[in-house]
Amino acid sequence: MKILWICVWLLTGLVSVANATPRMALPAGSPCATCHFSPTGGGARNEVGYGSMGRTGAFDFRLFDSNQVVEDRLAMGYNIRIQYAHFGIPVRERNQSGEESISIPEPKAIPMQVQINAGATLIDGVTISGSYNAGPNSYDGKLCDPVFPGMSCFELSVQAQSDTGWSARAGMMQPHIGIRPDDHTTLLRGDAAYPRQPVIPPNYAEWGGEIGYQPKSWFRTEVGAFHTDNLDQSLNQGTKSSDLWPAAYAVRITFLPRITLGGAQDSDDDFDDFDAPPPSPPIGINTWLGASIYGSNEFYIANAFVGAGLQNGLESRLEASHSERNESYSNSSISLSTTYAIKDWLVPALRIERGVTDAIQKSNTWQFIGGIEFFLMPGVEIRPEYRVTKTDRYIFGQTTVQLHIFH
Amino acid sequence: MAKKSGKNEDGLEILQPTRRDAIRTTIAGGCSLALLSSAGCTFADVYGDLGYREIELDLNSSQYNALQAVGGIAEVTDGAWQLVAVRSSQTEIIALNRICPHEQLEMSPNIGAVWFDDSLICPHHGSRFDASGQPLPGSLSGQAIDSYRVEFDANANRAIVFVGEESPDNSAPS
Repeated sequence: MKILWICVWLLTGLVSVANATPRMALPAGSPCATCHFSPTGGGARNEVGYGSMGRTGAFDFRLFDSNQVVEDRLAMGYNIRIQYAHFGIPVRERNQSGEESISIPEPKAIPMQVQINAGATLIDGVTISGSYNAGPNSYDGKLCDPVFPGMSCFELSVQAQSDTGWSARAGMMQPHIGIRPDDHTTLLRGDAAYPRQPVIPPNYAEWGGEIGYQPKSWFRTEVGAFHTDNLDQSLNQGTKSSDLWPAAYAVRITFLPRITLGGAQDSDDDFDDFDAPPPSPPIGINTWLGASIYGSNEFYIANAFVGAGLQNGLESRLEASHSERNESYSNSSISLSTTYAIKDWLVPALRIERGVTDAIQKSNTWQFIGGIEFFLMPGVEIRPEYRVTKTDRYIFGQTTVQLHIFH
Repeated sequence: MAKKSGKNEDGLEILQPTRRDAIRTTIAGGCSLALLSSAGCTFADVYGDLGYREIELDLNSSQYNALQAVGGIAEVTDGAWQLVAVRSSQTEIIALNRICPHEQLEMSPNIGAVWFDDSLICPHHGSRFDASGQPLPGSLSGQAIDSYRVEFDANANRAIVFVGEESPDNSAPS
């Protein structure tokens, strides 16, 4: 127990070299495009994004001061994630003497993501960004090697933003589907009958175009049309389960009001009373409220989400999704997640999810995930997590660790 | 504590980490991992048992109608038994364990497992197994998967899969 407390003390008290940088800006009210070239997030970071994450670390030992290859014009980066986990499912076995036991898959460390990305400003208001994801066999010459059906090995899009609030983008990109997660195991995009198999895979992208409109800081909408090649791969590999059109539609509406509580404007303090204590600062709460739908013929996935973030680093999100592949196969999921930035480099996170697949057989799945996002130094994150997955067939609890190296 | 190493162009102090910072941070990082690892031991339970069963497949039902066509494949679950049934020919249905020994991942047709060229192909890493469950060359798994005896009445569109040890003969037909 003494060792445990020493560890806690070392972890929270002694590591003191850190910068105060904003993080989790998205759930706190800022769009993904604040930090990324891509409006859906992920991939190359712009100057704001790099300025934020490029300085976040318990140990301020920077390998790079900037991701700008050509100042104000071209930024390049990478994302490498190595995941250590038991990737399979537990299985009941019986030996020759008739005794039954549970077989747990061996843990493995795998390179889950090897991505290079870039973003460039062509002219003021027009950017181009892209990324390439290597697969397990890319080193043997298979350059495009998606792990999950429907995953794209690259994204490439051009974005244009006007001063009037209108924006447009076109290329190979991910449509706006709820909130883009950074954990592909979320049930919101998955199938409760097969929790490891996403409906919308990680790095999902399609050729298409989208128009965005943000007339006010608190309102944004996007409308787009996309091809369905990769969606067809994801839904219809093996058995045909969803009849798709060649094109898909995507609509998302988001309200991002900022609520300010307390502070000087609400104070009844007499400003002539110089002995009075200074008024307390206002509490700012950035909120999210939105919904999206993405679909093609028989298939659609509808998401609704709400989130709130306090300036002290506490944020919480609730998202629900419902998808239908055809009239006899549907998924409904809900996810509640909370993070609290004790330091900008030390962020405990908790997520609870429930998914129900309604098909020939009904399947229920729960996921409980608790972990810490620990930024050891700028560009190096260690994310230990404890995960419990409970389905109708098994329950499985395990510790996983992800090493995320990024620039 | 970090030491000051001068000022940047904006006049702000630049802090450089010391060797002590590095040691502290490394210890803290290691401790965070150790804490999580020690706090969360791996546990698992699989519901149901592996007792003897005669699982009836009605090929007219929506659950198994994929088996009406040669090459069709369907998931079969009963208790802790997790199988796939394959219509390998007009007159034969075979049943195989659907857990790939490579990483204990499921080979279900609902997530892309297919019967192709007389072999079951794992959707995750491409391991291939023949009709008796033996791994084929190039598979990541060197282990075989269990196969189970099936009685198939093509005229009645019904099959029975025999699983478990109480059966007098539940080995796959040779």
